[in-house]
Amino acid sequence: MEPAMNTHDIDLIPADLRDIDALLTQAAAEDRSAAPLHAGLNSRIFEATRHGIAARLPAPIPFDRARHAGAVRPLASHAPLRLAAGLALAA
Amino acid sequence: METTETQPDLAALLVAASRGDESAWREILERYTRRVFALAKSRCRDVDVAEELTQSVFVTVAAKLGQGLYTEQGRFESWLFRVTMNRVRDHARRLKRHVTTTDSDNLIAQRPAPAEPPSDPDSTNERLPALRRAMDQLSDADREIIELRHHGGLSFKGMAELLDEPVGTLLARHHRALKKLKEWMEKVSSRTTDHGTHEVA
Repeated sequence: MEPAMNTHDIDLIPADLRDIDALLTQAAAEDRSAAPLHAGLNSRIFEATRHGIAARLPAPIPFDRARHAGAVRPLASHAPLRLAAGLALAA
Repeated sequence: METTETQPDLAALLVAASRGDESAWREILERYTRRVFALAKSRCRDVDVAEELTQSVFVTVAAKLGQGLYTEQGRFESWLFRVTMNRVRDHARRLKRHVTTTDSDNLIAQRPAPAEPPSDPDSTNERLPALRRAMDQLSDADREIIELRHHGGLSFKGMAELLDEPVGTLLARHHRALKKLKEWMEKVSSRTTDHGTHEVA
């Protein structure tokens, strides 16, 4: 589970502002928890990037250029395909 | 003031990942994906765009590590979030260009629907949407500090490395931003109590 991210600096926050600081922490936690809703975000990123790590490929072409190169699929759920295509194009 | 980076094994993970160790890379993703995603989502307000930006960031990181081009030793977090902020800014610029060439009907269609008035303005559930609206009132620089701290989980020291500014300056800016948010929230709360609506002119 994601730890509270900013507790280490809490002593630097003035006492009268800690309530709003805590509320911001809560808003951030809500945003972080939206990630798993996009099922398997970690896994998809891993699959899309593992070859960049393992195969020591050249840098992938920028995302927008991949889009213009026709490697784009219209739905966000296909994002790994676009990225994999971008890596392949760069190779 | 310690950042996650000072945990003893991050440096080892980075070295292992840069040598092609997939399990090390997976561990790095486990640690940072949600933080990068949260920062992007807070800025873009769109989970699909946030996901694309997050993937784009990690493609860059993977490529740098895989090619042995990662040269920010000891500053991985600030480098990672610098890449993230750059992607977010690029996206905002693209969006701005798009909006300026969009006809007025589309602009109306893109406008977010007005939020329902809160039933209890003091409850946490009602305060979060109000807080997000309040963040829209902040300058980009102030909002960036807030989001790097809370969504990115960076320490002030990490932010100082990322933004190349003294910790004291960032603390002052952060406190000022918190103060503005608090004042705005109190204003909303008092108007809601007085008029039964959360609208603020």
